[in-house]
Amino acid sequence: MKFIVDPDPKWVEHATKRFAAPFVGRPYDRIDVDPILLSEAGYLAGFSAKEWYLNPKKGIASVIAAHEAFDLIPVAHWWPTIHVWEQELGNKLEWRENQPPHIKENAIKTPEDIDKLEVVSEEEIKKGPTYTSFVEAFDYVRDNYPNWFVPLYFAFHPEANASQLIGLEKFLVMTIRNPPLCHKLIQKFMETSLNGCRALVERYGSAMIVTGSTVAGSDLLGPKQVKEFGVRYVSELVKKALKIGAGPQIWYHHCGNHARDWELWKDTIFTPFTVMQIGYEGRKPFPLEKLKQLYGRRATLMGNVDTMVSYSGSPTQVYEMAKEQILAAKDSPYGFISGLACECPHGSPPANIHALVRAARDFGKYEGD
Amino acid sequence: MVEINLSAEVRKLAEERGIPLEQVREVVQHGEETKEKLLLDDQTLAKKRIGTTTVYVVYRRAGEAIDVVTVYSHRMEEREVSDFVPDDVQPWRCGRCNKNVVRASMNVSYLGITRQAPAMACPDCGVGFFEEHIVNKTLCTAMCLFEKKRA
Repeated sequence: MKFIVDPDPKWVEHATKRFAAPFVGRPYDRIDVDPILLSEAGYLAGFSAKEWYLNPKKGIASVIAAHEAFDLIPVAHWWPTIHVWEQELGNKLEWRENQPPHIKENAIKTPEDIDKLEVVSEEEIKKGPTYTSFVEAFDYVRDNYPNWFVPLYFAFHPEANASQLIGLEKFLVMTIRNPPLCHKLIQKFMETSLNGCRALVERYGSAMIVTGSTVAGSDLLGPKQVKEFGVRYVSELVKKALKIGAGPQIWYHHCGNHARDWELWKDTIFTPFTVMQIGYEGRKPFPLEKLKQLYGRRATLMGNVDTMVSYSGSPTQVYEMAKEQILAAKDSPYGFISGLACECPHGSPPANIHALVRAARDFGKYEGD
Repeated sequence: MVEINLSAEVRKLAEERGIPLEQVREVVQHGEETKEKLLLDDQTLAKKRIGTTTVYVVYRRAGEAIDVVTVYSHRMEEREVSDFVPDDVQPWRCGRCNKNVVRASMNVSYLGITRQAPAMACPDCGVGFFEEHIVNKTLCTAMCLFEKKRA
């Protein structure tokens, strides 16, 4: 027996047209919504974050159910952890009941070990936990919910994942004391990740690229370093992933504070199906007006309602924040998708997700529709 | 008339991609006459809009004749080039300005929709070209998605 009831085909058809609208410049009823439901979808279906991450089929099915229930984008996104492709390089993860997996032990103890680190081959990648769990989730959707099938090359953030191999503090010290070693580490992580991309593209023919930055942001690095350790590698990763056959869909998710580096990301690669999202300016959601000015003719924009508000704020707070963003970006040339600044925290009240959608219904309608 | 040589492999590729020999000749001629071409070692990359298709040919000179290395084409309308990234220097040189081209973006239109796509372009004269994988993978899939999503 399937874990969820098959989504209503009429709803899927309607949601698919709505989702396509910003990419083809043809407005359709209202702004779409993606609150980045990951283990929150599991919470809504009555199970823990740990179960969500460790059960790809059940996890991705819960996302489908939640997206239909709240009238969200008809895309089932699931990933086993943000520490993708790291276990293959030696990181040890630990799963907790109601939080995303975290690192128990770093693969690299000293900077000198970076030289010994070997890029994991495509053949080895295929045996590893990242690839096999992606395949379990995506095969399940392809075989059971083909309308929802969008395989992802979840590259996540090259500089951030590389930093997790040695530990963030050591990595940050290396950016100052030994930049060449830092580059070597990012390069090795990136090539491993790209072998994951090769394996996924070989299996599915294509895959949407999900990448961006976290460590390469304004809380931890200066703009010059963001360019050196972030922009450069995101560009290289996307360029190589496109050559492998991933894309043309790209979702740039620039997590955290990008107050001083937000303009630098315009030097990355934009395809006809690119979504651009920047989380914060300082501690506040990054202003959509600013984002629209620079990126509105480069990509479809995605909203960034504060995840803390979605977790601990009231539905009215979520509604007001989403309203402000929709009114600012609804007319963005290549369209807008309302959403949270990052993953919806596990345990967020369902009323807050409803408030996000309600704002799109109330303020995101296209004129004449 | 310049002799155009296509190996059996390239001839098969051209057939599969629906590019007749006359069009290959037209593109080569256009590149040679206008210098709207890129150069890399002994290879030349030229392009020309023929009807509703932009045809790209990579070739090398073999005495008086031309050996074709590869051919590809797309049906999007190529428009303005922008977002030059001076740091991302590409190995190809501009046939007019003799400057190395850099990574840039080119607007492309299809079914009335205009979006950006990654290109390489001359920072001086601004002429932009797409690499083969961008045409055959990125643009090709994008066209299919536009058709599907517009339906």
